[in-house]
Amino acid sequence: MFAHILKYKFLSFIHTDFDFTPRLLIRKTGNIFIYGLFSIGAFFFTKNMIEYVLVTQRIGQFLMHEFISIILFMFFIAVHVGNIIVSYSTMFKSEEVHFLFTKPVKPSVIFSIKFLDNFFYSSTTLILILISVFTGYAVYFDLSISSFLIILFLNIIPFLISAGALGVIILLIIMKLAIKIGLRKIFITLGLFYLSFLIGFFQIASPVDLVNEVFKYYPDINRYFAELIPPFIKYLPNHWLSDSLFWMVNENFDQALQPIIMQNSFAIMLIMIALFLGKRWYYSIWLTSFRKVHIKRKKEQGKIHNLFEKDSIFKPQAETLIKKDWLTFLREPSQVIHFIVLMVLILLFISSVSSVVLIGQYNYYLQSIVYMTVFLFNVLLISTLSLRFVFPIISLEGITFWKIKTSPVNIHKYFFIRLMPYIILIFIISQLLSVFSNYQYSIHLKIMSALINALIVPGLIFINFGLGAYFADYKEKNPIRIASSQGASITFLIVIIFLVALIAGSFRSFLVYFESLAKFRIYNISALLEVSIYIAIVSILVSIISYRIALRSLKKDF
Amino acid sequence: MLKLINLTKTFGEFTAVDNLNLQINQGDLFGFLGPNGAGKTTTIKMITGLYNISKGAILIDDINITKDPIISKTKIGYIPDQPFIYDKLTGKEFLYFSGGLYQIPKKELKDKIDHLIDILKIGDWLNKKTEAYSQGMRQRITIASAFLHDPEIIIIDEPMVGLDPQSAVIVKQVLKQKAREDCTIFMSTHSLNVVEEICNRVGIINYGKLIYDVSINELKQMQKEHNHNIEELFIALTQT
Repeated sequence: MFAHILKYKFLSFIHTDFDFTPRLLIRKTGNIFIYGLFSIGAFFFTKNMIEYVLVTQRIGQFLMHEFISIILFMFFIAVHVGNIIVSYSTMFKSEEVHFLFTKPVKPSVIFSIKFLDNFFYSSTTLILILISVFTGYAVYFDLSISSFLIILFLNIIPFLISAGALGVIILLIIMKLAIKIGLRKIFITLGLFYLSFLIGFFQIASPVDLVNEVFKYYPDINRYFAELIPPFIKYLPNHWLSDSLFWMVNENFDQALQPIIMQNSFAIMLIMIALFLGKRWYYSIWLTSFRKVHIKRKKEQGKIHNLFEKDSIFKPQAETLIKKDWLTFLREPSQVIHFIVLMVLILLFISSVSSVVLIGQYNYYLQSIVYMTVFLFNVLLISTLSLRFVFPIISLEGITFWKIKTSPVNIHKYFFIRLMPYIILIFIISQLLSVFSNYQYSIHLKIMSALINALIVPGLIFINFGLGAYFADYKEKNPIRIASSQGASITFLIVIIFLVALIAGSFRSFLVYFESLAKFRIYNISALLEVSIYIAIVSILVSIISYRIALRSLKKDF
Repeated sequence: MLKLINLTKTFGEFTAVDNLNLQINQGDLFGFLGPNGAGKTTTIKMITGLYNISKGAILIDDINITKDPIISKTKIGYIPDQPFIYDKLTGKEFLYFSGGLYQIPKKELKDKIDHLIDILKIGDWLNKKTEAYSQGMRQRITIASAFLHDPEIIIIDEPMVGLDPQSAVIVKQVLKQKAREDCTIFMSTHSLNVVEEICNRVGIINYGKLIYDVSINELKQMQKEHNHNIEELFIALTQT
């Protein structure tokens, strides 16, 4: 039965993805081109970054691999949490599950199929990105093809499987416990657990302490400092991955074997646990989740106040669109929870960023890089917000979009009303990020940063809006799934290309600025102004193109 | 008045609607029949602006809908075959939302909603979120939303889908009343009995072409001549 269902799922995939009409061919070619461009970029970025940290900064191979371990830890947590959210809609809200449960198929088979579905849905793009990154890594260290394949199949894929399987296990436990003690308590407990786990990790594995400890042995910093790795860290999948990389680069395959075995055993163990729990709990949880929804709906009766009846300063059409957006946003828990989580992350970033920017003082090259990195991080935060909340705008109209499309609504006015709240909110956040990350710098840089951020925001919002309309999936109701779809991944890659174009065009001006600052020269502010003009032109161009894409997409047959 | 002139819709090589010419006059209750895939929904989606027109034109009171979509849309009330409405809004909120799209002032809108609640008997569950509604409840909400702005033309795609017999009776009564009020109604349906019962004119489309455009009396005459009931007649007509 498992193979039978998989066969038809595969056929359905083939039919939707390999129907070669001219239009689809152009679209697919475009997707491949963007992936290709991003892969090449990620490849060269990784290769150059390794060269920079090992040759220019001379931090040594051990430290570099420990940094890789920290990045992989964050990556693991992000993939894992993402999987909890995505697997909820894959396993409990999908129409396919509903259909399969009405057929004589064992719940364990349905669970296994959805487990695979979930993994491929949420990890395919990540695997592609990681392949590019680790190709850059393998080429830099001149690793053989067999070593690269070992990294890919015996390290990266089990690592991602562990993150995914753990996500599914946690989801099943959440659902099981939620039936008894309520979803709110579970979420609060889980949130506190993750927060303390993150804080605990960075307390135990403090990068600053590690750097100080390793540099006591300078210049002998290429060896393996086993004694500096906290015992707790040694049992994490991110450490196994970075550890095996370290030993493979140093051609000590015997030492590399142990973390590889740990990685794969852990992945297999988690799969087994997930399948075991799925077999025991999946069907009963699925049934109960429906009953709970029904009870919740009954309880809600009589609680709802009609916001539409209240008077407003807007004209009826604008009012009605704004209120509809507001209510549908507030009544969708995943929108509200995700928004709060992102706001907390931004606050955490804001509170710590002002001290980070002082790293590299008196080394103007390093300071420029740190400044641009912080700047890039700011912009990435803004683009994450845009991807998460602006990209799904059109898709979330759903099939109900027929109502607006058949009503006398001017499309430009509709765009304006839908986008304005997001533009205002994201603009305010970008300005806050700019203020706090430039807190320690001169007034020139503060003003320029504020201006540059203000110029970038429309570009980022319009890219996400335009491509969100282009890749609109009106049948998908889950905003998180929309924001992690293939279209969203492509959009994110385009945003990265847009940001690289901005950085490439402006880095030199910042370098000159920090150089003149370090050498106490008078700096000609016009160079920074030129940067902002360059960014304005790129941003306006991108916004116009994206707007036109949105317009064309909405004029297509519905 | 609704006028379709040489209306054509193609999807790649496939022609879904082929050179369709029709004129539906004020007060007509036009039943648009045809087998599955004949082009009924495609025609409706072109009239309502959900599909682009490949060739030809649609005029609503001599206004070309492609050239002036906003004005023409103010004259149309559309009821789709699948009553999709925002899950997170209540039925009442959805009606206010729909009225707002047509710029109806709040006081007037409130009165109209109250009136429609009464006619369509939707008051009991109107303050619940629509995610809890049955297909029939949703259908009645979309019907009410289409009547809010007093459209001159009502376009309906399969009005009886998911309706229980009581609701179906209500809807038929409302449509007949609207036609009496000089509203033009263009109704696509598979339900031949409904056509026989409430329509005054019938069009049959097959393979994208209009094969019959007759009054209901002429259709009944054909029934007598062929000694068929309406289902048998429909099958006979669409097989040729």
